Amino acid sequence: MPGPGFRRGDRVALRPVEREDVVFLRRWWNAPAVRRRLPASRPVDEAAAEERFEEWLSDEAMPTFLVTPAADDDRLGFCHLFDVGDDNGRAKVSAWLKPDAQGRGYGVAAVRQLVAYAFEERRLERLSAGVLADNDAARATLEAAGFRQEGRQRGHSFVESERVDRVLYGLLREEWEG
Amino acid sequence: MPGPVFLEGERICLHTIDRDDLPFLQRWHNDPGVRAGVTLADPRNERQQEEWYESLDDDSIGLLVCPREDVSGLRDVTAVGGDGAEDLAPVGYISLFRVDATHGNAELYCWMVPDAREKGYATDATRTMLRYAFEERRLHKVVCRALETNEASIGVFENLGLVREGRQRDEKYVGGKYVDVFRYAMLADEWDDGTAGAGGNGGN
Repeated sequence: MPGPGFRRGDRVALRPVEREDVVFLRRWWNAPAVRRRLPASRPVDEAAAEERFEEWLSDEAMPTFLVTPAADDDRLGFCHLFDVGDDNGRAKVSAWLKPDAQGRGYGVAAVRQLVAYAFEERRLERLSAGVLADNDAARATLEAAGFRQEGRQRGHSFVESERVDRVLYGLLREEWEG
Repeated sequence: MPGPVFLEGERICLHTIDRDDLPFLQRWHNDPGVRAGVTLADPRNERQQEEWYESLDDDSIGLLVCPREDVSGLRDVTAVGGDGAEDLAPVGYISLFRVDATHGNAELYCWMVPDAREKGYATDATRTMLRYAFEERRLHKVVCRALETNEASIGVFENLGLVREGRQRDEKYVGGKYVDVFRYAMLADEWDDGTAGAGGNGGN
């Protein structure tokens, strides 16, 4: 049974993550095609995935959402804020889609929903994100959602035997065209 | 019913472990023909197998070896549309353990159920885990050990180009007598993207 909708746009909806979704998350957390981009290099077994899920339930600094099409409950991906700091009014953004849901505009739509949630519902004033420099799709998604490049961490991650730069993006409430 | 694919080899995939897989692991951890090779001498009951699963941490990774094609020989598991690999049967286990990030080394061991031996699965699984160790985990050295009498494992190590570093005299007590252990290892700069030994017969 899908969880109730939380935010619904024209293209995608964000809804709370339910226990039944953990199988979906676990599949893609482990899949080389998805985790290489994060990057994440450790396996997540059933027990570890359940532990993550339980931790979210009590972590107000990390609101998590399942991404579905606006019209039905297909599981497309996962997005969340993390390191939400209310005093400074900022948070970080993370999102991924399963491979066959990529390249169809779902990512931009999901990030836009997440940004609107952060600014309009959580009263945040700054969002940031970091992506591997060679992840052109994620960079285009962030830029389409209004993020601007702010920096580059050289040789940040070790991916497939090579050090890969990480590009930092930021978006301020005042420059956001909600 | 193994969990999702974590690493892809040529002919096998390495899957995460679900609770449903614990009976498989328990069965073979207790089986004389499997545990002799990995020198496990303690019986393991259901509770102990669960405790083992819960205790897995960052210093030790364990994955199930599954052929990429299921028993019908028709389906590539990486292409399965569902959320898992519900009807796949694991044929072995592989572990990267004693991961020491400070010194950049780890140990690797693998076992295959008797029916799945001599098909090249162990070689492919070991190669896949070596790739992970060097290309994802940034390790410098991976150590593999085998009883002197374990020709299948020694064949896998040599097939993949690991270097024999030493003989540990009377290291294990197996079948009523002390047995020497061969220690093999590969260094990161010896790793050749798995092409080493590609023409071999697969060993174990």
